[in-house]
Amino acid sequence: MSDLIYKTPSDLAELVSCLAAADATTYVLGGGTDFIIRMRDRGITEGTLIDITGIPGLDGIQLDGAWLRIGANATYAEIAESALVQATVPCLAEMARQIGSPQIRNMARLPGNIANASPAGDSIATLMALDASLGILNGRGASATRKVDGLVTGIGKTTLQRDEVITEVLIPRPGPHHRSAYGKIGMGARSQVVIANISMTMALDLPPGGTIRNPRIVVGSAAPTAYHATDAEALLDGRVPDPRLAGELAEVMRAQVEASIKGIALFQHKMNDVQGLALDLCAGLFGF
Amino acid sequence: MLLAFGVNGIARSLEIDPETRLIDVLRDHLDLTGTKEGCGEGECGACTVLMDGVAVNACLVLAMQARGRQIVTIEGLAVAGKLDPLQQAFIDEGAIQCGYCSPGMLMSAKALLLKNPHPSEPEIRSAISGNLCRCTGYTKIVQAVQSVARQGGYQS
Repeated sequence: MSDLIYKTPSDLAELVSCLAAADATTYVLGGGTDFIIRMRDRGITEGTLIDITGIPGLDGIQLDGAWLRIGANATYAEIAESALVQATVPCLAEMARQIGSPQIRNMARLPGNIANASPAGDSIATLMALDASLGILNGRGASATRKVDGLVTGIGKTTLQRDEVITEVLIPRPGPHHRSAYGKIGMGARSQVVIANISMTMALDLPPGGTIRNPRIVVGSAAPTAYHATDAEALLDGRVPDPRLAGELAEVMRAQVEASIKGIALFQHKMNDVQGLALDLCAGLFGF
Repeated sequence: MLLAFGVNGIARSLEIDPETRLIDVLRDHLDLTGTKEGCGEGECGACTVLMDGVAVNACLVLAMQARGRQIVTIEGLAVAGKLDPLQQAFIDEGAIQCGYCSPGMLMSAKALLLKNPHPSEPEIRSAISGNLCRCTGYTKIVQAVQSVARQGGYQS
């Protein structure tokens, strides 16, 4: 007989009452693709699973005045195929298209990837580049929003509390001149091992004939947590794109990654990888 | 706890522990051993089944997550003793060697054709990218899927 309890709240009120009793053995279940492996690796045999996938209103992808709202239950497959996501934040569609395998994309969702805070959590870096926030609900029934930037504090560590659940991902509504791109080097459906992985997301505003504004460049899988390539952001800010820019950016990105891998020989290749990604992303964003 | 769901068109209802995975219910409770377990981590795709028409790894889905849903396994592909066109094509094209990946490969191909009856070669390769085959080199598998897509008139 198992000591696990499986709860299936059917609305937010029921979810809140489940969360009110949350402790160290409470697990919120979305797609479950990370949890089931963890459950088996660590021999989790007691506690409470809260399956939130049956709660109406937590699915869907919508654009309102302020936000692109992605419900907690939207799968990566839905995000990748969403015409709205493709049109407004193409880097997120591309990230979702490349994560895991088709089977995993049909189950997995953004909140689990964020809450598990894997160093190879592809979505965290992309959401940081988009200045995304999270809608969070706690066991007292209080809602809050918190930025993804700063949420992940270490490998597997976040500022999320035991009784908190991510109900939606909120991306500031992009302006008319917003552009973004995502690239990843690496393969493997689960990509638990970060050896062969690195990702780069670029988001910025560029009015026709104008200068680059609000550049946000985030590197994933090259350090315990995703980080802003601040030197690269400074290079782009206020710049008129020209053909020299891609090469300059590639050099700056190389230096940023060199600093973040801290001399680990196994990760040396990531310096070359990020140079290639920088060139690819510039070609996609600027056409040269 | 009680799990009620559909498997290959038959309504099933059984008592399970919450940590039981979908693959365990299929293989151990329902004796549907055509679904294979390879890596148990979502890397190899041998356990692929359809859940409400889309491909999922049965090793990465808790059985309770399938409550109220319709599952199709490799045993559910043939209808009235007649192989699914995909199964026949895998035989005709020699897309099977050791056979361990074949059930999962067929289910991923089935999911693709249900959604997109006339896929391009890159679309086929993308659809089976979560299924590892260590024998065939994939070429004959892709050819088998293409032959079904070319035949047209692919039904469910």
